[in-house]
Amino acid sequence: MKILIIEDEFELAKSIVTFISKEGYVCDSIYNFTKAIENINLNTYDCAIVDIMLPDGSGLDAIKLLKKLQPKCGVIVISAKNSLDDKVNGLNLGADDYITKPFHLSELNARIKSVIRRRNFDGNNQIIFDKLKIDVDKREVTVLGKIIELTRREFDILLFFVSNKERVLTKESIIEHIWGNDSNTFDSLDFVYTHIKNVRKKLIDAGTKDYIISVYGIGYKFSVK
Amino acid sequence: MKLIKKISQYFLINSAILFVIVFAGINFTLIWIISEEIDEQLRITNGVITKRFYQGDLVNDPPLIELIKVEKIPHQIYSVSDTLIYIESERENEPYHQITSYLQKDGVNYKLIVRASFIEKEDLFYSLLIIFSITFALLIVILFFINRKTTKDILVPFYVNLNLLMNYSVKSGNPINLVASKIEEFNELNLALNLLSDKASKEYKALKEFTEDVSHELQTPVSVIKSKLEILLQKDNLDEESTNNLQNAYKSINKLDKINRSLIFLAKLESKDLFEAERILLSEIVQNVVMNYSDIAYENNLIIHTELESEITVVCNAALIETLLNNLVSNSIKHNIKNGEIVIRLLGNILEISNTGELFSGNTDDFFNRFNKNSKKFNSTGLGLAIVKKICDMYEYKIDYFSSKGYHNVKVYFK
Repeated sequence: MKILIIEDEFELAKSIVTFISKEGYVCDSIYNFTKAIENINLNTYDCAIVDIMLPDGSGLDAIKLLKKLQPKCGVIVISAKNSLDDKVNGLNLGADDYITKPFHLSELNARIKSVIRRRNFDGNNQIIFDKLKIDVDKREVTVLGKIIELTRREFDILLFFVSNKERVLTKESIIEHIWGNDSNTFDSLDFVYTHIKNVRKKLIDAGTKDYIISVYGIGYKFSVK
Repeated sequence: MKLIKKISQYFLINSAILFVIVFAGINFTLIWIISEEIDEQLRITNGVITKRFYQGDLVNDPPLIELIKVEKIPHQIYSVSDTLIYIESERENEPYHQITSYLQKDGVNYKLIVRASFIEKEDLFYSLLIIFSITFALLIVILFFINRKTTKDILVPFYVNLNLLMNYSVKSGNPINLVASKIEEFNELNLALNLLSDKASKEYKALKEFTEDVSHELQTPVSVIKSKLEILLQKDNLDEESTNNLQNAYKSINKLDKINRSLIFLAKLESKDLFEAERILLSEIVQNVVMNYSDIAYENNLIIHTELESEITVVCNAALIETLLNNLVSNSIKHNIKNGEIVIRLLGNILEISNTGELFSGNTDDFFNRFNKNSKKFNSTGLGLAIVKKICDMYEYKIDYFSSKGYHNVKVYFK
């Protein structure tokens, strides 16, 4: 998988590359519009992460070109402005998703995966993890062919975990992913624990290993080790 | 007291004093002039009668001319005096001026009194009083018309401007457009006010832009810090102290991020045009928000009761209403007590959210103000209710807060 990152903030781009290259992606980091156009013309990508505000041009124009030359490439728009216009314009140009700065890297990672999945496995959007099989479109989880009944929240949490497997996920990022941006203002973030406890129990009952490891004070890690 | 009334009052009080002084002056002057004139006439008459007396013509025509024989001529042979004489036809005593002189003819002494009727002081007083009163009454009438005209010509533009000023908000960014006046002072005032409003408006705009710019500029460094911390958190070989420090740094950057997002959002709420409105079903959106928080409420041992009338719709931006409800409902969870309850009612166009909770210690008028936190909870940004208020202001929904019997109640009146 080849990922193009067009982001003028060097350090942020570096963080993104560090975080997502663990997934085995090959990443190209581009810091300005001119270079971006050059790269889009030269290379083929599976997914592009595009910041709209670039010093020498608009990321929207880069998306336009990308969509023209590489229609199969997934696009995630990054905007600092949280402006509806950017979102609408980006999505109208064919972008698959939209994320506002500042974001959790785990959130971006989950979205990249989702975009790539949707683009590459037409109609058969499945994730296999150890003994788990997750059908994302049907929202169905099976362990060794047996369906596990999960609530909406539990399914979303499991999907987020699997998308960020072998990584430490903070409670904050899980809550923001599941409950939305508005909801992360509670003093006690323990309510996420109940759901995670349930997912854990249901998976173990179905005969899997205990995938969910508590990382004290920070959050959780979904791991097969 | 209105300006025109105050001016009229001063004018009338001073006029009244002046009238009294002039009245008294005219009264006494007239009496003096008339008596001088009469005395002169009497002297002439006295001279004529005396002359005729010596010519042998003894005129006696009471009460105007009296010639009386007397035995002795007193020391003072000529005197002027006032007297009252009863007049039969008038049936009252009338005032007269008289000159008394003594004459001698053929060894006989005579006393000659020449009289002239003098104007009654009372009559003069009352006549003058009537004249003055009528004049004063006329003055009041004239003043009334002058005031009416003045109000129309001079003060109406002033009141129009006053009204414009009262309704002026620097937020609008528009000039006040004060009405020009014929009066120089008012025009100068307008000029000063225009300058003031321009300045205030510009400074407000600059401050607003500054806040927005700061918030936007902060986003990139916050993004970088957040991403770096997240990468650090992935490290396997962290000791406990580093984990603690990282965890706290991560929490704080998240809070900074939230405050910043809220500030940017608040700034965005200044312009209604950015939010497309549509007709939305309130009960549905309330239901969704309650659903979203139900597990959090459950986790906190809170019971949520809902009573939602199903058919109520409003025209507004769905995302904004959702934000409004999110903030109110999450607040009712955050500021609750153990085993407390939350009651959400949507009846008619009124949404009422009541929850058990510790009493709000601050001034209830400040309830919706920024950073006014009842309790210092770490994750609370202190901007949630300010956002709620701003959304309500945008759509002109009234919003009330009151507490009673251990319950916090927030009421939103949708339109």
